Amino acid sequence: MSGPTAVRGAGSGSGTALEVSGLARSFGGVKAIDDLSFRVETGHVYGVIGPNGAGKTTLINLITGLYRPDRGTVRLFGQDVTGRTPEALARAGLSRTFQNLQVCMNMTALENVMVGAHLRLDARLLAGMLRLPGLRRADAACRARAMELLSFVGIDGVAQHLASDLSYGVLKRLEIARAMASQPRLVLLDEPAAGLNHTETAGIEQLIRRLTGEGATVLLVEHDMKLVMGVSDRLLVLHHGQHLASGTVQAVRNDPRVIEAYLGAAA
Amino acid sequence: MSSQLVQFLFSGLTVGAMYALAALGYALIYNASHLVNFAQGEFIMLGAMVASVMVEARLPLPVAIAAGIAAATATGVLMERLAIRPARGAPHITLLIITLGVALVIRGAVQVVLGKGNHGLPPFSGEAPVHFAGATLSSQSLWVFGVTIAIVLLLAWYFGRTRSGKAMLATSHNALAARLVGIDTQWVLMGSFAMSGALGAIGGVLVAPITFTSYDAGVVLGVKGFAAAALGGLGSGPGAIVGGLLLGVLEALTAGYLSAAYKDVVAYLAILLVFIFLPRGLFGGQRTDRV
Amino acid sequence: MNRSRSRAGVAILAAVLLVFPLLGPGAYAYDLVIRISMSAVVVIGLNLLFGYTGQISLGHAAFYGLGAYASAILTTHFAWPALAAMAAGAAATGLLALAVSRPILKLSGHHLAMGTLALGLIASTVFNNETRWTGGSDGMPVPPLAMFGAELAGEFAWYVLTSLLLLVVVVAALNLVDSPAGRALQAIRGSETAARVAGIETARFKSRVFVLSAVLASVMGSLAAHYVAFITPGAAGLARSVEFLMMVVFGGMASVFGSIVGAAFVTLLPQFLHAFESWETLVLGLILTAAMIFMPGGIVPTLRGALARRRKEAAR
Repeated sequence: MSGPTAVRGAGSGSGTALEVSGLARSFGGVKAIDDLSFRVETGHVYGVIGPNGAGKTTLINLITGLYRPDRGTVRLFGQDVTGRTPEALARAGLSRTFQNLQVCMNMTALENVMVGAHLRLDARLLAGMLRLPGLRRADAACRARAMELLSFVGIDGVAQHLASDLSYGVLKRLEIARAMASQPRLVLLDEPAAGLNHTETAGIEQLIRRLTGEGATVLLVEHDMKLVMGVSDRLLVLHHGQHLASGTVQAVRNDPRVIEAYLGAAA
Repeated sequence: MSSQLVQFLFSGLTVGAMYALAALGYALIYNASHLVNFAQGEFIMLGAMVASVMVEARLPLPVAIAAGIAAATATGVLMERLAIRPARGAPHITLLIITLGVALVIRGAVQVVLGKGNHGLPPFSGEAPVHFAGATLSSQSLWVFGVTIAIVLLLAWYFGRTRSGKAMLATSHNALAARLVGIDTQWVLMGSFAMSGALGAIGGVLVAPITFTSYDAGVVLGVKGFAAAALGGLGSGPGAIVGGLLLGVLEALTAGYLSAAYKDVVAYLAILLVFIFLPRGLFGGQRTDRV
Repeated sequence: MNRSRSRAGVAILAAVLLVFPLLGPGAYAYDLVIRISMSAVVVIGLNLLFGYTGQISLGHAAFYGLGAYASAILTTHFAWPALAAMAAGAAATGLLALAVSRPILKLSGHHLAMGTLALGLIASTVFNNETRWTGGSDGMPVPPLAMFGAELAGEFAWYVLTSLLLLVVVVAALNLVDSPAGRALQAIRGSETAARVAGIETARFKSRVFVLSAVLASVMGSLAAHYVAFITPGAAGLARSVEFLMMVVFGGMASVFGSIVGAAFVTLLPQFLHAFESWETLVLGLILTAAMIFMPGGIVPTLRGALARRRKEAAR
C-alpha cells in the first residue's frame, strides 16, 4: 500500500492498537478519570461518548501525553508508553486533533500540514540554513504529499491561504490532514464534528471511513450521536470519569445503565 | 543587634516600601488584565519629578506632592485610554511592547520638558534625624512607613468593603464572569491604571527626599518593583508588600556587607531565580492550563 | 515567502550593495550603511527568535556586549589575535545562552520578557563596574581588526566585509525559514501544543534558536567593537536591547528583509532628529506605540498586505 495516507505497519491484521489499564487522574479533589480500562483493536474506529464533564478530553490528553496519569498504564501497539511526552508519542505513531483547534494561524494551510510530517524530515537548523540537496528533495516530496492530503480532506483550494483566513469547518479538516501527515498508526479525533453543520459532519464521517480504509486505527471522542454510532466499531461510555459500558454499538445502545445515565436525553 | 545592622534594615525597609507600592501597582494591572505594565517605573519617576519641579517653582510642598500624584494618575488613565484600549484583543506580546513604548514616551516627554538633570524633594518634616535602637533614621523614613501602612489599610478597606473594590477583585478572578454579572471590566482596567499611577507616584514622592530622581530613574525602579511583585507572587497584594520589603532589605544588606556597586543585581537575580525555581512567587497560587 | 520571491529579494539586495559604492558615497554614508548592515544581522537573529519562534528577548544587547567586550579585553589586555578573541567571545556567549536558555525558555510571555531583561541588566552592571577590565562607564579603546596578518582599515574594506556578511546571513535565514526546522520554529509560535503533538521537541528548538541568535549578536558585537575602535557599557545596555527589539517590530516580525528595513529605520531616525536630539526617546516611543497599535505585524508585512489587497481590488 502506497500513497499519501498509507500507514506504517498496515496490513498487520488484527491486534491491540491501544490498551489502557487502571488509568486515573485527579485535579485537586476531582477525579477526572477513575480506574479506567479498555482496549482498541487495530483497524477499528473506537468511539468514546459521555456527557459533558465525563472526562473525554482528559482521557485524550492523558493518552497523548499532555497530562501525566496518577495511576495506570497506556500501551500503544504493545509498547508501554505511560507518561511519555507528546513528542515521544508522536514518534511512536500517535497523532491527534483538538476540540478547541490548535492550528498555527501564522502559517498557510499547506505549511500546517507539512508541520504534521515533521518527524519524517531532517529538522536540523544547520541543514535548513545550508539547504542541502537531499533536504531539498525530501522537502519537495513532503510538499507534494501535503497537497495530496489537503485534497484527501477536500480543502486543496486553500493550500496557500493563511490559516487565520480560513473558516472553522475548513480548519477542522485541516487538523485532520495534519494529523495524517505523520502517517500515524493511531489517530485520536477530539470532537471533530463540534460546531459543524449536517453536511460538514457527513463529510467528517466519510473522512473517518477513508482513514481506516487506509489502515489507521481511530479513537473518536464525539458528542454527535448520529456520527459516532454510525461510524464506530466499538463504543465506550464514560460517566464521571469511570467506565460505564463498552462493546458494540448495539449492545451499548440497549444497555439499561447507559440509557438511564445518558442516552435517554440525547438523540 | 548591631546598630549598623539596624541601620541597614531600616534603610532597606524604607526603599522596600517604595518597591512594595510599585509592586502593588503591578499587581493591580496584572489582576485586571494579565498584563505586565512596563511603564510602572515611569509612574514612580513622574510623580517624583513633577513634585520636585513644582517645589523648585516655589509651590508649597503639599501642592507639589498632590500635583505629582495627579500627573501620574492622569498619565495612567491616558495610557489605558489611548494605548491599551485601542489594542484590546491583541496578543499579549503586542500589549507588552505597547507598555514598553508608552514607558519610552513618558521618559522622553520628561526629558524634553524637564531636561536631564537630577532633582529631589525636601524632607517632609525637616532634617532632624530620629534615633532608634542605636541607629539614626531620617524622619523621612517614618513618613515612608506611615504612609505606606496607611495606604495598605486603605486598599484593604477598598477591596474588602466597597462595591467598586469588590468589582475589581471579581474581575481579577474571572473577567468573563465579572462581565456577565454586569461589572464594567473596561472601567476596572482604567481604574487599575489610575491607581497604579497614583501608587507609583506616592512611592516616588515619599522616597525622593532620600534618593535623587531624574528622567531615566524609572527603568531601574520599574524592574525592581517588578522583582518585588514576582518575588511575592504576581497579582498578590500581600505578596507585593512582603516582596517589596524583603527586596529592599536584601538590597540594603548586600550594599552594606557585600558590594555597593552590585546592589542592583539583587533585584535582577531575584527575578531570574524566582522565575526558575519559584515561578508563582511566595504567595501565588497554582494554575493548570487546560488544552 | 516562496522561493522565487526570496531569490528576487536577495538579488535586489546584492544589486543595491554592489551599486552603492559606485554612487561615490562619503565616509559618513559608508558609516551609516556599515552600521545598518551590522545591526541588520543581529536583528535577523533576533527575528528568528522573536518573530518566527515567538520568544521575546529584552536583553539581547547583553550578548552583543559580551562579544564586544570579549574582543576588546582579549585583544587589549592579553594580546590575543582578533579572530581568536571573537571566537572566544562567541563561544562564551553561546555557553551562557545555552545555560540560561532551558530554564528561561520554559517561561512564556512576560516571564520571558522580564527574565531576559534582568539578564541584560546584570550584564550591563558587570560591564559598568569591572573597571579594571572594562574601563567602567568610560569605556575602553579597541584595537583594529587584524585578519590573517593584515589590518582591516578604511570604510570600503569594512563595507565589503559587512555587506558580504549580511548577504550570507540573509540567504541562510531565508533557507532556514523555508525548511522543516524553520516550519518547526514557526509552529512553536503558532501553537506549541500542536507542535509537540506533531513530534517537535519544542524545548530543544527554542534553546537552539536562542543560542543561534545570541552567537550572531556576539559576533556582530565583536566586529562593531573593532569597527568603532571603542566600546562603552551602553552598547550592552537596556536602551540597545530595546533598540534591537524596535528594529524587529518596525521592520516586520517573521520577515528577513523586514529586519533590514527595521535596522535601517531605527539607525537613520536619529539622523533626521539631529537637531532635536533630546526628542529622540519621545519620538521613538511614540512610533513604537503607534506601530504596535496599528501595525502589529511590522511595517513590511503590513505594507505587503496592503499592497496585496490593492492588487486584488484592481484585478476586479
